Amino acid sequence: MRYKISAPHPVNHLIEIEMTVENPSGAEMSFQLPSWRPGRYELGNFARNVQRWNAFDEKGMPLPFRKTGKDLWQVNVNDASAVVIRYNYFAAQLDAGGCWLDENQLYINPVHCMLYVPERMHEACEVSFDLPMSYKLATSMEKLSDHVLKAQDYHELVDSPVIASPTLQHKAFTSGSTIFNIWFQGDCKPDWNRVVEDFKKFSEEQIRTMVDFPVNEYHFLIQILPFRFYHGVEHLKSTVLALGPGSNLMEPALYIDFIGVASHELFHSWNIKTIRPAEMLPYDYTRENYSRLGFVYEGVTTYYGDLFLVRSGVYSVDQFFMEINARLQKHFDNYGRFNLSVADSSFDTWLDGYGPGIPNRKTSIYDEGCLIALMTDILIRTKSKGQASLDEVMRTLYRDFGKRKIGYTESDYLSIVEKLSGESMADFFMDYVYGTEDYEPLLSESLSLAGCQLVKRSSTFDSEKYFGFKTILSEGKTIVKQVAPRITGRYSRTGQGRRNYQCE
Amino acid sequence: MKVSENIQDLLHLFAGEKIILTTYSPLQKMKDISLAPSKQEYFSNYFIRRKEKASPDEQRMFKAWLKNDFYPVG
Repeated sequence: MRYKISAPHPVNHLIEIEMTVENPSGAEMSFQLPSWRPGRYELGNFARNVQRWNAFDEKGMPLPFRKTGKDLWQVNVNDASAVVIRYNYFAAQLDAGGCWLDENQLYINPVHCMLYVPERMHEACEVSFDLPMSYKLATSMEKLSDHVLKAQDYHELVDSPVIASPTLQHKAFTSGSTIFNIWFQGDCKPDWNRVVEDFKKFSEEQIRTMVDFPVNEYHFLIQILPFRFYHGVEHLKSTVLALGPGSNLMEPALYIDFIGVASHELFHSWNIKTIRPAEMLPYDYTRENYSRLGFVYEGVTTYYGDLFLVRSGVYSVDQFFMEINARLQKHFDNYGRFNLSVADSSFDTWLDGYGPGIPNRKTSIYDEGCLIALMTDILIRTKSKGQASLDEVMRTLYRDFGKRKIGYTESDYLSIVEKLSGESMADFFMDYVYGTEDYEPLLSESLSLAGCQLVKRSSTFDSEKYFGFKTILSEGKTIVKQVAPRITGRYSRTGQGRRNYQCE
Repeated sequence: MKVSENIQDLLHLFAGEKIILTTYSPLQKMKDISLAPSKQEYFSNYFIRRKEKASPDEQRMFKAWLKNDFYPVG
């Protein structure tokens, strides 16, 4: 599979792509563009950014084609010995998961814009870039030459973002047998000594905990923007972080976010890129890949992203608590916690997982998932009398499933947690992961076992405290942002001794 | 009384009383909203802090969990 990428007119944001498939079999051949990207569990419908699409034979003669799906094209191959698809892609989304083209850089997430032939996804992919010689390429893909890359198969290709630019800043460090690369694109002046020292600390802490790293080379690809921005997307051998404003990179507020998202995305190399729910192994790029395990692949990652930072000394204990406090506050402010469990909210990320959604409907695989991970960790430590923790759970998943390329199920996760706890954890999972039981009592109890307190203080705003609504001020207007639902049945007990809540 | 940026002051001034607000709806209609304070509290603030005194077991758990020695709040 060969792809050629060029950008003759960067100002119009249109990337030109030519895909060549040799030795087509059959009278017709299908070409598919992914409808979503791993890491964001909702449909992206990237085909909407394709402006022009044509098929040719090896001599440049047009081949007939028609669309048979929103992101699926069928080409009449006739007697062609090769099929060449020429199309363009509108690259005007500069975040950690998009594509962008301008006079300063070409940035692609191939999952957005690289077609595949469904029955030939296992074939190696070669990608050549027709760019000025001053452009360097930052990517985890193998470099055949300065501007030619190779991926082992389509899955690796679409898991390998590329930044091509003449202004990349780069440093590398080694931890164990792994080379870590840090690339900055955009206006910023990183304090390289501090950045490398901190990245090395949390990377080594993660590797110590998980025993080894899944790959031997890793790339942090950092897009620096001139305005306030925060986003990260994981890949097996790399991550893209998008942060801003670049002028504030080394200021405490943004630097803490920078380190936090970098640690989070690195842990994804184990948790989701290697340790994968069975329903996503392999990824099906054409449709929703439903899973109720978001509380593991995002929740546990959110928890560990910050935990590794405090364990490695990059964060202070107080800083770690501030990060957890943010999750706690979002959880307790969200009355959707009484309506939809974190497991069901994971399933529904495909519906409304990345926006606020309607009031009080759902929870978050990141926020509630993080708190579930925290409680699971302390419960395992307590029940096992300090002999095990969530660390062992993740190591077991990595050793018994991830390394063997076997997907794990919900029952696999519960079984491992129970085995390491030495006790049943079924009630915990039923009440808090698959149910909507109030987290507060168990959080308070868990934190107490670790020498900490969960402190609850009344809001200082009367609208929040007594009247149940939050407001913000905007352009001289008071805007009601959130209203607490009327809660009935509070603290009434049902047959199983559980509290019964109902939102109206 | 006109409410613009001072709703918190208004609610505080009339704490414990029922308040009628005349509002402007998104459909550009005037609408009266009755606000009555609840005995139940909403939107409390939550945070974690270290205990003032932790038992040896709790201190051990703290260290195993965070790889930092326990030190009391204060």
